[in-house]
Amino acid sequence: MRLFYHDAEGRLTGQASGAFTPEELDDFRARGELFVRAPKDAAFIQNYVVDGELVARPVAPITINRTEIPADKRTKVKIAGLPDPCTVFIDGEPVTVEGGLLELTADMPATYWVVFDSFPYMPWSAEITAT
Amino acid sequence: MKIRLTKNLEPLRASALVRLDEIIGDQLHPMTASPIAMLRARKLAEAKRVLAGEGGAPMLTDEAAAKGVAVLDLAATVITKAAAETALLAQIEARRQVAQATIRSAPHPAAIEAALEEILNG
Repeated sequence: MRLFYHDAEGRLTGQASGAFTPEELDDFRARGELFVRAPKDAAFIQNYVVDGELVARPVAPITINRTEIPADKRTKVKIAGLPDPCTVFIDGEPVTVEGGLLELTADMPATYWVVFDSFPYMPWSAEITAT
Repeated sequence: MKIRLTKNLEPLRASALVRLDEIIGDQLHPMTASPIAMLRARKLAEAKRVLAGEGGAPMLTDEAAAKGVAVLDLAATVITKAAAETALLAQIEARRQVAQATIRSAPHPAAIEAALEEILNG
């Protein structure tokens, strides 16, 4: 038997395999541990728990039109399909995005990391190179 | 939402300057702080005394005898080598100063990296 442990939001936090007896499972529950039985082939990262059931984490329909731009302050990287509103991290700095669209230009040649990581959505990231 | 991507270069500059001093420190160590460097410093002091006619040069005296050369000649050689090393130290310090200035005025991360690469490989 395979167990996925999760937190109150349904985020998977750990897993265990073994021949657990009903008494052991009751003991886990009594200790306040949240868990579900997971199928053998269930992916850990791609799932979460809703109402006691393991379900696939949603994938935001994020698109990016390009990942390389000149650092000319004009050429845009357009990241669309973001949940509205959401927080995106640019080089680790949080930015609140409203309207689902993020338009980026650059004035300095460098590599920039854009990360969307908002549970329960699957994380998304892009490396943008400005030259 | 529109955002202009840019970088805060100050942390990159700060860590590059630390790295620069580490690289230069590695280059300087054999010439300035190693046991051999200390030995050479003593030999240089002895060589100066010999050339000043003051004597008191046990290391150079022994070495000259072992090599079969005059102590005065050996002292002159030591002085010449020390002068060459001083010139090399000055060269390294000049490169460090140039790299520091380049890092402080670099307009983007790649320019900072290039300054360090230049020091490492140049």
